Amino acid sequence: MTTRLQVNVQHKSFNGRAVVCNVAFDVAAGEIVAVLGMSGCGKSTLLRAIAGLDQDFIGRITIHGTHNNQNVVGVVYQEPRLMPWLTVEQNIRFGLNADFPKSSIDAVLQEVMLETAHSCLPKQLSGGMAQRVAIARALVREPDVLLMDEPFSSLDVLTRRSLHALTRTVTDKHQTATVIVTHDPEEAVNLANRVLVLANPNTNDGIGASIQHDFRPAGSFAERRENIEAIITALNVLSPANANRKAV
Amino acid sequence: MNAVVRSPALPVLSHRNEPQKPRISRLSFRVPLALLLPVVSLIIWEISSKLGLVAPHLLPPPSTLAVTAFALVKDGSLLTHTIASSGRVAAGFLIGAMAGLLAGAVVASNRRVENVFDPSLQALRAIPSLAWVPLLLLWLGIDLASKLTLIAIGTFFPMYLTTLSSLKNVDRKLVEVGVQLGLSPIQLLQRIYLPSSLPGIMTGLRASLGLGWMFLVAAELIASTSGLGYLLTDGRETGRADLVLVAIIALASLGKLSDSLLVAIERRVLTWRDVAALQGEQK
Repeated sequence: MTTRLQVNVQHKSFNGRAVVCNVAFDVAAGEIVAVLGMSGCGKSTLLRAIAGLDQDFIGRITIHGTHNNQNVVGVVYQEPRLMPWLTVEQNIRFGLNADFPKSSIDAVLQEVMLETAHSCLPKQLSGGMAQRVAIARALVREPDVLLMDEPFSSLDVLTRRSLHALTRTVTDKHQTATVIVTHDPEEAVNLANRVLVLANPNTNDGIGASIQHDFRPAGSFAERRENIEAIITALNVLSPANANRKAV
Repeated sequence: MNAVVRSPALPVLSHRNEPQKPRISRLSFRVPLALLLPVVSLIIWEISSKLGLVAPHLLPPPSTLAVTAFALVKDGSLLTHTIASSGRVAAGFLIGAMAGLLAGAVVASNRRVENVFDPSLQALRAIPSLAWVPLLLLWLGIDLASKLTLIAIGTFFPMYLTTLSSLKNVDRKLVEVGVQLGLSPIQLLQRIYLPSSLPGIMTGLRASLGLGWMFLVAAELIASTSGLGYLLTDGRETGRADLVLVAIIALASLGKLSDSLLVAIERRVLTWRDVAALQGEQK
């Protein structure tokens, strides 16, 4: 597998406080990397840096060996972030040239199983459907890198499973390098080829969060259950509250 | 045990399948409700006047007003005055509201521009409307220009304020989507900021138009030979309360009609809004 995305964030601060420190990993084409961590540990900050939305950090992020290019990055956010005044089709077309072929829109809508929803407004969609449109908007540009920021956290379990399968399918089919940020160990283990646990065990040290665990989930159901339990234990140990308690 | 299985892959477009209530039934319900209060008031007014409870020369009964209005319609003067006033409001409103929209957009676009212009504009806004009249008469005379300028001043500020406020409250997350998708600043303005601000801008337009009618009367009361404001002055000077009341009713009707027109446009262009209806309100 060829390396597509290379992330090396040495230091990233937010409001004068160090958030991320020495986080480095590669993502290959067709690979899903899950970045897991407790709320507020800097996962989304890291993703914003990769997306090019925040360039105020020390380090280097490259795609195909060159600096980040927005055209080859697709982003799916925690909320669908659809333009409420545009139909589903117009939302997917958003930011594309007027002559972008309709056949590509149709194809991507079919891929996310929304081929009958072309002319629906976002207010007519359920949460899961709206999130599929957001995925379609990211996919229609055929991105080399797909970034997903807790995209399924507000969805019910059935919709979430359906979208997990969709993410897996599009990553394989389009050979995207996918990074998914989540706080759900089960989602990380079941979806990703590789799981990175991001944490800052001691919030008082002023250094910021770094990768505490880096592993590839095992194949069998029992082994994956063990992985999930191990992550939960690790998160529990690494949580700032516990770390501070130990220090006291 | 029976299990209910729902496939997440099959979307259900519930809103599309909802039966639409016939529009005629909504109107037939809404119109009588809106007319209830005026009709009851007119009946009480007529009876009070006939019974001598109020002086007819100060408050003529509705039947007298109807006769006066009919006479004004018949000789064409009501239409002439209405056209004159409506034309002034339309022109002043267009100038003032468009300038307010533009100024709001420019000031909202940059913090430095806002720091330079907004405090002065807010200070100008605090000047009472009638304080402008002597100055405008001095500068522009008693012709059309002073009237249009006064109406434009009146309609400018609500439009400026609502545009500024709406543009500054655009959802940061939507802007972020545009930035990530590579939109230029102009494209961001056209494709995210303006559509997002449209509900606020429509409210600003309605507020501006309402003030436009108010400023029209101020302008026509002072120096005019035509228009509904002139009719008010004429009625006062000739001691004809019926003329004053007919002019007031005509102004109220025109104000309501123009506002209803904007409401209809608002409903048409803002169908995408996902807002909660108040109890008793029909979406």
